[in-house]
Amino acid sequence: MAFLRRRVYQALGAVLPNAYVQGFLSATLYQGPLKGVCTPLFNCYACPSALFSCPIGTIQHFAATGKVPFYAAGTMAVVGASVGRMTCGTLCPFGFLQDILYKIRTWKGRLPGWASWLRYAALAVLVFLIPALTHVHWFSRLCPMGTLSAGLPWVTMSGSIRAMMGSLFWVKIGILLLFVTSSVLVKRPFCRAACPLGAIFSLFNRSSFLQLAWNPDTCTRCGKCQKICPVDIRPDYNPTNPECLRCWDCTRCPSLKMTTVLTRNPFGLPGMAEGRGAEILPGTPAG
Amino acid sequence: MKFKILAFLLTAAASVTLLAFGLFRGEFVKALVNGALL
Repeated sequence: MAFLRRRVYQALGAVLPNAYVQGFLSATLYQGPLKGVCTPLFNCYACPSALFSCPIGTIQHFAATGKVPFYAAGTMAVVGASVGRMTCGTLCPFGFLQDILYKIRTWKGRLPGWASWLRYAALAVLVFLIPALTHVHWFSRLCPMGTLSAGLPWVTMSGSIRAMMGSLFWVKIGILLLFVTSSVLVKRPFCRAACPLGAIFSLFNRSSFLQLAWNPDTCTRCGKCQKICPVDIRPDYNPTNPECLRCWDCTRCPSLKMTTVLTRNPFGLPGMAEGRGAEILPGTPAG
Repeated sequence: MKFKILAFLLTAAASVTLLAFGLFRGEFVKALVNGALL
C-alpha cells in the first residue's frame, strides 16, 4: 500500500509542477511569479508546461554570472535539512521514469560503488566550475531531463527551434538514450551517478529531521530490503547512507522505520530508551 | 542522540539563514527572470 502511495506521489510530482498545459497549446513558456520558486525536484523550467524553476538551472545561472546562489542553495538546504533525499524518492519525475523503466523484465546489473562519486563531480564541475569559467550553463545543456521535457517538445512544436538544431542536440539525445536504456538494466543510474540535485540532498541525509531507524535486535540480515530498495543499498548496514532516497519502501520490514531525530525509542521497545537500538545506529555488517 | 539533534539544529539554522539571506538580496526575482529568459 505504501509502495502504491509512493507511485501516486511520484505521479503528482510529475504532473503538478507541469500544470501549465497552455504552454503546449500556445508554444509559450509560463513567466508568472511561480517561476521564481525552485522546486526540490528535477524538473526542467524550459518545459512548455513548467510552472516552477529548476534549482540546478538557477544555481548554474548564478555561477555563470559570478554570483553566489543563496536563495536556490538555501531552498535546497531547507528541504534537505527537513527530509534529506526524500523528494528524490517520492516526487522527482525523472526518478519516477527510471523506477518504471527498471520494471521491464530483462537482465539486471549493478552499478559499481564508485559511480556514486560521479554525481558530486557533476555538481562541482558541470554546475559550478565550468559555468563559472565559460559563463555557459553546461549541465542544463546536457541534462537528459531537459532534453526529454523541453528539448524534444520544443523541437516538435517550433519550426524555428527545429531550424536551430545542431550537433549538440544529437549529443543530448545520446545522453538521454544512455540513461533511458541503462535505467532498464540498473536501478536509477542517473540519480546515483549523475544527478547534482541528488548530490546536494545526499549531504543532508545524516542530519535531516526525518530519519530511517533500524532495529538490530529484530533484523535477520535477510537482505530483502536491498531487493526492494530503488537504489540497491542495504539500509540495515547504514540507515543514514547518503545514497538512501528516503522512499520508505524498506519500512515494509518491521526492523526499519521512518522516524525523526527527536524520537528516542523509535521501535517502542521497553528499556531501550537509552540503550542499544534506541538510536538511529550507523549499522555495520554482521560478522 | 544529542549529537543528532544538535547536528539537525545547526543544519536547519544554517539553511534558513541561507534562504533568508537569498530572499533579502532579492534573488527570488533573479531566479524568476532567469526562468523567464529561457
